[in-house]
Amino acid sequence: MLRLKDTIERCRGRKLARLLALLACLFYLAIPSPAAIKFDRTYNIKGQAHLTVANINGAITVTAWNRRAIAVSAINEPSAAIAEQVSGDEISLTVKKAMPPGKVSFQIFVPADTDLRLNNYLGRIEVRGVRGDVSIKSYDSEVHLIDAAIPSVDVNVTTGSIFFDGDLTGDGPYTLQTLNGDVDVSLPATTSFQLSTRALSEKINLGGFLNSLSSENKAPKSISGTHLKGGPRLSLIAFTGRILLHKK
Amino acid sequence: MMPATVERSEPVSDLDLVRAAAAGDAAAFEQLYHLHNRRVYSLCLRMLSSGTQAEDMTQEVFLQVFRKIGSFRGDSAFTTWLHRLTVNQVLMHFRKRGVKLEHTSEEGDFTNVVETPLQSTRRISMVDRLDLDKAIGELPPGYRTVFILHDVEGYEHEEISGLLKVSVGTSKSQLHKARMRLRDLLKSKH
Amino acid sequence: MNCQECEEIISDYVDGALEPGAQTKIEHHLANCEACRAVRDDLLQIVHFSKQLPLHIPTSDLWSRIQTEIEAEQPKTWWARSKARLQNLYGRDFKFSIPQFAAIAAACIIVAAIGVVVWQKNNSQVPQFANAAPADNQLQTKLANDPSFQEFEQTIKQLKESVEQRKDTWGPELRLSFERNMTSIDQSLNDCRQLLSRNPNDETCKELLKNAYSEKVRVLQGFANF
Repeated sequence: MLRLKDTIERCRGRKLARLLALLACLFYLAIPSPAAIKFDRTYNIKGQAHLTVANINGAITVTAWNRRAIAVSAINEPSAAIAEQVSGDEISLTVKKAMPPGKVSFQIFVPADTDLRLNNYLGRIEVRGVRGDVSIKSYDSEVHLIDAAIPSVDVNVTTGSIFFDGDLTGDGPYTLQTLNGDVDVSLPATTSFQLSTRALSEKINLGGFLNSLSSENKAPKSISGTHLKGGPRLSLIAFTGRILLHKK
Repeated sequence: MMPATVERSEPVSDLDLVRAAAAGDAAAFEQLYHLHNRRVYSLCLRMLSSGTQAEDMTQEVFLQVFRKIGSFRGDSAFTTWLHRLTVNQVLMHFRKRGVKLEHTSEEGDFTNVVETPLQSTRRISMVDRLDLDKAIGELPPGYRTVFILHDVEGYEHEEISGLLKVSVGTSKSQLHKARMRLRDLLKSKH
Repeated sequence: MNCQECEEIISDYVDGALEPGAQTKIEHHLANCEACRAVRDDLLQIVHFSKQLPLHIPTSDLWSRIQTEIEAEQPKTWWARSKARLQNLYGRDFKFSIPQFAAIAAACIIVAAIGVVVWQKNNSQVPQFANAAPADNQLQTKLANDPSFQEFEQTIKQLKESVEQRKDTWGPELRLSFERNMTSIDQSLNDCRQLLSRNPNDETCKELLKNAYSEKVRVLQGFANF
């Protein structure tokens, strides 16, 4: 009988020890790590969303999803604080300038028709599946626009390549400019556009569009012309990189 | 005798710039650097897989160009001469450090074709192209060198065989293994 | 032909390097084997895209490093060559008395003076890595006369001052990025100027030069706002 009581006591003691260990773990996890702070927000969207993100140092990845909400998950160093401004469906997230500026990586999910305005100093920018207008200004970024069936786009980077794989679905304009990097565009064979390209150091490679473009100007470093019915203006400018077009 | 200088009123070819640089025109040499540094650096970076080493190598290549520019006779394109010089510099670097190019530690252990999922309609999109660039850096040095020389730089197996002092058969087999390894690496990223 | 045999020669097939007999055999196998077709298509794509890999950019200071090396090397090689030639002629090293040294110095000055006259007539025989080529100087004057570029230059000067004051507080990563951007822009500006100096009527180039100036202002403004 005594042994049974002992056993019960021991079991209770073990349970208590486990519970305490679990609580300690939860407590530890609840304290934010000094190396990284997590910024998590979900904004419900009624109409068409306009999202502005102004980062300084770090990646911005935006992916379209089927929900009518914008979900933002950012990991930031303690020295970088994110300021948010919400006015209806207009959302603006700005990394506050600090000395020295901390690193922030944004992972964002948006309804496909969201208009995007992304600004950065340094860090890769990737946009997937978006159908709204896109404006990207950065200094030192590789920019990837993937599955981008968008009505207009304006990308301007100083250093870094720009990759566009998608379709031109609106009136444009579609402008992609980099001073140091390639401009690499993949479009369906059926897309109509008015092309204007300027390259400084490298030749322009029209790929599969070479023969289907009725050219107005075909100098090796400045090609302009009409593809099929013409329409939206597609301007590609690369200073020290290449301009490459691919027919899908 | 009139010295060879860059004619400023019309577009200048590499050969004009080379002649002017060889005759002492520093601006012409600088222009050659600006025109070709990215290609030289990219080749070095791909072969060496290290940004710092690639910059050091690019520096060495252009110093060699400066020293040897008078010996360029214009029999081939300047870019060909420059690429050859770059490749030789990198290979010399490998030799000095005892990097074995003729063997790799993991010969022939890529996926068997029969087990490969069917992907005949898959198209490598531009994202894969960037992945391809990264995947090349993950190849063992032997595969990587042959792959870069043949598929990226357009060398023939006979030339590679001469440069690397291996047989044509070895060059071919290294290339095939490199391609199959790349295929595996690219697949694992998707 | 089985899959193993096909795989052994598929790279040669992709490169178009097979004998007609082997080519017919592999094509027959490929027509009936989807797995091998997938390999062929993937290899074709790898080979195709390997020709179009993006170019990488070295960091900002590489050219100045090369320039420094060349400048350091030039007098050394010139001196070494001259000295070797003289030693070959006389087979011994040289020791000069003060009057001898003065005479040599005077001779050098006279030779240098003649040299300058000849140089001015003919052009330089020794690379001088100055910041701007003579043609650039002419262009600079032209740009200075052009109100819009003068404005750019002025704005750039002001912004640069403000950026210089803030630079130390950015941290190494952003500082490096700023330098990289400046190098990109200065290289583009330089390329544009050189092309324009050769063909002043190149409208594309004029347009790009303006873009590069605007870009410089944009970057400096961005970094001055810290």
